[in-house]
Amino acid sequence: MTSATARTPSDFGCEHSSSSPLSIHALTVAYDRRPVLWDVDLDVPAQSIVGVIGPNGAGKSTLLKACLGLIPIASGKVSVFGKPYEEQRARVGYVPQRESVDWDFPVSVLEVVMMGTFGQLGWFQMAGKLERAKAREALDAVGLADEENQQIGQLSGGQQQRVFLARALAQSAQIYLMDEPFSSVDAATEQAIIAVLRRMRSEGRTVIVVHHDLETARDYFDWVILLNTRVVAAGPTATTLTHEQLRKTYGGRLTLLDEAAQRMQKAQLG
Amino acid sequence: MNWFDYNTQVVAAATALLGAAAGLAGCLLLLRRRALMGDALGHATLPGIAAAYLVSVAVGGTGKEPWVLLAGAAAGAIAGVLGVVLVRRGARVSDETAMAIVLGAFFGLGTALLTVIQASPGGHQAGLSSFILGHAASMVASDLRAASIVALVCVALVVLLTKELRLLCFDESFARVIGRPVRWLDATVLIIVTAVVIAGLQAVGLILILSLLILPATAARLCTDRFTVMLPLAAAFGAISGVGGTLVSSFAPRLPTGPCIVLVAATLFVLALLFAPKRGLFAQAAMGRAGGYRP
Amino acid sequence: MNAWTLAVDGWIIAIGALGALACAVPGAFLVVRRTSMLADAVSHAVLPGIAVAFLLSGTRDPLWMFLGAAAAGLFVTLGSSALARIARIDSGAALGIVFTTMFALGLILIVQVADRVDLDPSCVLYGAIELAPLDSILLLGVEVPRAVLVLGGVTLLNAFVAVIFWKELTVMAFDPALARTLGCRPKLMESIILGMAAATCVAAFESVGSILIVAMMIIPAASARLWSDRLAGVIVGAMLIGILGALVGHWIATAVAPAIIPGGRDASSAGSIAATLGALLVASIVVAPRRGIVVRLVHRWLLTLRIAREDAIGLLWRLDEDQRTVAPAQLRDLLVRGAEIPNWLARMAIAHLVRDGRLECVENVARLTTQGRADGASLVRSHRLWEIYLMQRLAIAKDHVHPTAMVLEHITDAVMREQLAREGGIAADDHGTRADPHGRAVPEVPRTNGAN
Repeated sequence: MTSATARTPSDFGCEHSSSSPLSIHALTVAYDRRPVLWDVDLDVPAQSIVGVIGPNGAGKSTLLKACLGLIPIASGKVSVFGKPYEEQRARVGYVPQRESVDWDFPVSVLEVVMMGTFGQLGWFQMAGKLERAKAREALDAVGLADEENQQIGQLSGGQQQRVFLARALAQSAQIYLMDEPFSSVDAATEQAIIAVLRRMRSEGRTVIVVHHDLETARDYFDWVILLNTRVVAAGPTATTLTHEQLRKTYGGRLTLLDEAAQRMQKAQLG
Repeated sequence: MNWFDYNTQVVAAATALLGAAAGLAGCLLLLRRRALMGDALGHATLPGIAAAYLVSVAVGGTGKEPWVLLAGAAAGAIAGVLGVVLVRRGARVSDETAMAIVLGAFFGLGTALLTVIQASPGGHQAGLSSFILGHAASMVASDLRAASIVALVCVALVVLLTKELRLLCFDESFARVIGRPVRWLDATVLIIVTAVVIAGLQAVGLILILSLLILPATAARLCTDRFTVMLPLAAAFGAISGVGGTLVSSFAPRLPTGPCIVLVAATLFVLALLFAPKRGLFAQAAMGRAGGYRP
Repeated sequence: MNAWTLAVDGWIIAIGALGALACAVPGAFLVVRRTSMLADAVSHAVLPGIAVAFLLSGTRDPLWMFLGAAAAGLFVTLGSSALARIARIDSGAALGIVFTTMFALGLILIVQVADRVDLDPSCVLYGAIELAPLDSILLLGVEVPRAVLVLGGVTLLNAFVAVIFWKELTVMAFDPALARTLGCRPKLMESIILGMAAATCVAAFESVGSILIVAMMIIPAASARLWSDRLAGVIVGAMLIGILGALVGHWIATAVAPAIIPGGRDASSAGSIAATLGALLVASIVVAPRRGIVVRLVHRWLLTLRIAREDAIGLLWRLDEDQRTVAPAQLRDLLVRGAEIPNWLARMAIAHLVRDGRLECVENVARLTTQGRADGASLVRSHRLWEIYLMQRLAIAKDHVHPTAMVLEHITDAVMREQLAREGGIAADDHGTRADPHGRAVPEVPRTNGAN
C-alpha cells in the first residue's frame, strides 16, 4: 500500500461468490458503539443446514439480527444471493427467539402462521384463500394441523416453537435464519423440527440455525460457524467442529479485543 | 335533561361514536403495551389549548372558535408525543418515566397559562377549564359531526390496516423483516389515539379520556382470544358506555356525564372480569376445579 | 403582586422546597425502578378518598381528609397490582383502569356533596399552594403553615426509612436479581418504596396538588440521574433541582407572568413550578456532564479533530517510509480522498499539527518534525500490531484487516501497544525486523519526550 490511508477497491475482497445465499463481508456490529461482533466474513453454502455455535454473549443472535437489518451495522455489508438484503426480503425467512413475543396475544395459531404470507401481500390487501391454504400446508408440515384454531398461549413451548417454524415456512423463502429454534423443546419436538429442516434442505433451501447443544451439532449440521465476538472458524462440520476449534471458541474471550471495544464505547468511536 | 330530548340524543350519539373510536384506539394502545400513553397525550393537550387561545386573542380573534382550540390541542398532543420520545432518548429513562415527565411538565404549563387566561378580561367565559373535566351536556350538532368524522376515520384506518396493525402489535421485528415501515405504523397508531383524545376532550375531559381508551379495550380482551373479535367488541363496549353514561346522567340530576360514561365502562369491565368465558374469574374458578385453562 | 413578602412568598417557596425534599427519596426509586406513573395514579385517586371521608365524617377536618386520601392511595397501589395479576393485563393498563375509575367516582361524589361543602376537584388537581400559608398553626410562638409541618414530617420519615434500609434499597434500585440472591427480600423493599411514594403523594396533594406531585417526584429525579450515577447523588441532586424549581417557578408565576401576559395577574405557582422543573430537565439533558448533549458534541468534535490529525501524521510517516514527499496541498488532497476527511477539517488538522510542532512546511514540502515522526511511528506501530493481532487471533483475511486497524489505532496507548506486541510474539528488542501482514516492518517508537 503506497497511500496507507486510502481504501482502494482492491482492499475489499472480490473473491466472494455472488451466488451464495448469504454472503457477509467485513461486518462489524456495535451496541451503543461498543463492538460485539468484529469483522465477520462468511459465505454460506447453498442447500445446507448451517449451525451458528458459540458461548453465551458471543453475538450469535446479533449476527442474525444484523443480517436482517433489525440492528444497525457499524460497517461492512450483507448480501443475499449477491444483492443487498433490502432488495431480497422475499427470499429470506426468519424465526425469532420464542421469548421475543407475548404469547398471551389474542391471535390463533393459523393467524400467526398466515403472517408469514404478508410479505407477498400488499397494503390493505386481505389474506385470502390462497394464503389460508399456504398456512394450513405449513402447519401440516410441522404437525400442528389440528391446533389451528387454538389461541397461541394455549400451546406448549415446543408447539409454540413449531408455530414460528410454520410461519417461516409460509414465507416460502430460499434462506432461513432461525434463532434458537431448539431452545427448551422436548426431544420429540426437536426431532420433528430437524426433520422439517432436512426436508427444506432437500428442496434446495438453506437454513442457518443458532444452536446451543454441541452433542447434536455434528449430527444436525452440514456446515458450522463457530462464533465468539468474531468468527473463530467456519466450514464443513467434519473439519471445523474439532476439539481444537471448540477450545478456541469457548476458551474465554480475547482480553485485548474486549478492552478495545470498551475504549471505543468510551470514546464514542465507530 | 330528558331522554326524549333532542339534546340528549345528540350527546348520546356523539359519545357513542366517540366511545367506539376510543375502544378501537385503546385496543392498539393496550396491545402495544403503551396504555398510559393516552394519559400523557391527554394532559399534554392543555398547554396547546391555552396557547391557542392566547394566540387567537393576540391576533384579534375571540379565542372561542372550537377549531382553533382543537388545533391547539392537537399541537399540544403532538408536542407531547415528541416530548416522550426526546426525553426517553435524551435522559435515558424508561417509557413510563418519560410519560410521567411529559404529563407533569405539560399539564403544569397548561394550568399556569390557564390561571393567567382566567384572570384576563373575557378569559373566564372562554370555558377552557371545561376541557379538563369535560362538559358533555354542552355538546351540540357540530360536536356530533366532529365525533362522527373521528370515529369514521378511526374505523377506516383500523379496518384497512388490520393486518399490519396486528402484525405490529404481535411481533414488531417480524414486521420489519418482511419490510413493513414499523415507524410509520407506530405513528399511525399515535395519530388515531390523538384524534380520539382531542375529540373526547369535550365529552369526558383530558383526565378521564384514559379510561375511555383502556376500559373497553381491556374488557374486550378478557372476553375474546381473537384480535379481529376484540376490535369490534371494544368498539361496542365503548359505544354502550357512551349511550349508557349519557342516559344515566340524564335520569338523575347533578350527575356529570363524563364520569358517568367512565363508570358505565368500568361496570362493563367488572362484568367482563367476572363472567367472561375462559378468562373471567368464575370461568377460571370452574376450570381450575376441572384442571383446565393454561394461561 | 409586585414585591415578595416573606410571610407569603417565603412560606410558599418553603412549602415547594419541602415538597421537593419529601419527593426526592421515593422519586429516585420510582425513576430507577421504572414505575413512575404510580405517582400520577395515587395523586388522582385521592379525590374519591377525601369525598368518602367527608361523607362519613361530615367534616372537612384535615385528619379525616388525610385518612380518606391514605386509604385511597393504599387501594390504588394494592388494587392495581392485584388487578394486573388476576386479569392478567399489563401493569400500566391496570394502574390506568383503577385510578381513572376512582377519579370518575370522586368527581360524581363531590358533585353530590357540593351544596354542603366546598370540595373543589380542581383543588386536588392544582393544589392550593398559594393559600397554604393561610392555614397555619402556632408553634413555639411562630405561625407555621400546617403544610410545612406535614411536608417536613414526611421528609424526615422518608429520610429515616432511606437511612435504615439504605443498603437494601441501593441494591434493590439497580439490581433486583442480585438483591434476591443477597437475601434482601426485594418484595418487602418494593412495598416499602411504593408505600413511601404513596404516603408522600397523599401528604402532599393538599398543598401542592396532584400534578405538581407527579412533576416533583419524577422530573427532579430523572434530571439528577443525568448528573450522577449513584443513588445518593441522585437523591441529593433531586432535592437541589426541586428547590431550584420551586424558587424559579414561583418567581415566574408571580413576577414574570403578570408582566408579560396582558391582564397582569399571577399564574398558578404549582403549574409554573411543574413547568419550570420540565425546563430544568431539558437544561440537564443539554448541559449535564458526560451524558449532556453539549459535552457529547464537544467530545465528538475533539475526537474527529484528533483522528484527522493522527490520520495526517500516519499518512506522512508512511509516505516517508517510501521515501516520497508531498506538498501541503497534496497532503490535504490525499487526506480528503483517502481518509474521507472533509476539506476544511483536513486543512484545520494540518494547521494544528504545524502549530504544535509536529509538522513543518519547508519549500512547499510537508515534512514531519522529530516529534511528529515519533507520533507517526507509534501510530503505525499500533496499526501494524493490530493487523498482526487481527490476522492471528481473529483469523481475518489479510486483505480485510486494514480498515479495522484504521479504527483501532486511534484508541491504542503505549501500554496496549506493548501488550499487542507481546501477544503477537514480537520482542521489545526486535528493532523493527518483524513484518506486518502486508510485508511492511513494524516500526519501533523512537525515544523522545512526550511520545504518544
